[in-house]
Amino acid sequence: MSLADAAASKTTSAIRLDGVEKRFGDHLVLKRISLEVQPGQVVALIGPSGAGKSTLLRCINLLERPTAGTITVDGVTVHADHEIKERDLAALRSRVGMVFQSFNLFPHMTALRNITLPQQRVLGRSKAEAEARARALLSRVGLADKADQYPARCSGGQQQRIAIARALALDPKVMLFDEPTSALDPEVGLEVLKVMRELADEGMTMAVVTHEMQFARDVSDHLVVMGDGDIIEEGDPHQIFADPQQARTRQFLRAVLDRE
Amino acid sequence: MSGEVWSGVANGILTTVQLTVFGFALGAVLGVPVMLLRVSTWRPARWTGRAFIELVRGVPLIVWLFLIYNGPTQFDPSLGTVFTSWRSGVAALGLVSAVYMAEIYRGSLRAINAGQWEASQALGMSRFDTASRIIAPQVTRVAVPASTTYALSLIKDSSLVSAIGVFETTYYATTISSTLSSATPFVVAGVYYIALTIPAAWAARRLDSNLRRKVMR
Ligand SMILES: Nc1ncnc2c1ncn2[C@@H]1O[C@H](COP(=O)(O)OP(=O)(O)O)[C@@H](O)[C@H]1O
Ligand SMILES: [Mg+2]
Repeated sequence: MSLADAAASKTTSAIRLDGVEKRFGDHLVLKRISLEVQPGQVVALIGPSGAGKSTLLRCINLLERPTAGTITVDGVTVHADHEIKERDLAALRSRVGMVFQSFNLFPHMTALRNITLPQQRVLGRSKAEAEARARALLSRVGLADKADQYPARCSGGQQQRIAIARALALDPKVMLFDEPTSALDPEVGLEVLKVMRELADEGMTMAVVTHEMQFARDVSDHLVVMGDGDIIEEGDPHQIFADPQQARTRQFLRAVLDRE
Repeated sequence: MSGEVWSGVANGILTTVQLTVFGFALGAVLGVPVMLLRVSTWRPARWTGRAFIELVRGVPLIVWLFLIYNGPTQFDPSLGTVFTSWRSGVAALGLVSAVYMAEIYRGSLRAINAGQWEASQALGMSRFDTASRIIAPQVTRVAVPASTTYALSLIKDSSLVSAIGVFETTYYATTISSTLSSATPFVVAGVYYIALTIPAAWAARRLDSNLRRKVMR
């Protein structure tokens, strides 16, 4: 790789966090975290509950405003200490899709409408265009027959796959997943993990907070272990699982792997 | 009980229905900005909303009726053509309903999961789109049972408007009763109010279960 290429790849990291800090009042929840995710990379975030994993993920699309630091997604940069312009916020959010633990589908709309409305309102697509895209994505997640159902009539696993389709419909550069299978029975979670694995194989850039250690080890390219608002350890997932360097990582992995 | 009493009191039924419908509609619409003030993150707006609600709720409906009907004309008698008894009645019912509906809307808003705002914002939807297309329809649905219960009670509360001379059910019952020196017209009025309330309650339950079946939250 030439120097110029290296410089270009540096400026085009899919996600780049520089010294991101988040306080809730006196409570310091993220301690100046820096993290880089390359295009096509899948990063898994693991760690005990309360470590700050969700908060970190939510800072990336500014559902939480960081109290210090810089966030860059696909070339759009937001500084915590400048006022965030409505235009930058929209630009950043349009590049980031997010999937929540609790699905958060809109209960008063059919699966199809859940997927078409944001396309029409955010990207200005026509209804026909949005529906074609929504139906294609629903078949891709195996739910072509659920287009006209309301979310309450769908199982948790189906709802989560609809939520993934809804996020993908906006053609995000990056997908964030916050414990997407934690609210699901293990067998049902597998349907969702399968869709996520396919997405990873197709080259989607992903940051995934998860308790699924198998997914973290086998699907992610990079593993980040968080504890107490900080990154304890990061690197190759297989290496960290086989030989964790930090005592807290060892402790955490022992606790979760024992439970499984 | 003569048929004349029945038909005499019946002359007011349509006006009772109109008072209720217009008063409630006015309240349902005005309740939205009152609720928005009340939940605003900007303190002066929130304080204004709260003060308005306390003020309107703190004064009995019958006092509002006299204030609206007689108040303006005291300053300028020509305002009497604007504040007719009918308009004053609708205005007072609308005013009292507005703060009541605002509180129903506020309670319903709190029932909506924060995840709905977050999901919409994460998708890049504007605050306005989120409020109008994601939150408002859900709030409306949650608000239906409490709103219909309130509307039913308004049918009966509208009887107070007889005090400023609107020709509704209770007004006719009162005048016929004093002419005949008999309480019978009030029995008739009571029957008419029940006859209005029962089908309205049935329609309200139908509406609610239809919405529920459709969304199944
Ligand atoms: N909105 C909030 N207000 C106050 N404290 C919060 C808020 N959100 C999260 N926290 C705190 O931040 C810490 C990290 O939370 P979170 O990011 O949810 O951790 P994790 O996802 O790793 O379990 C916790 O101590 C939590 O109580
Ligand atoms: Mg979490």
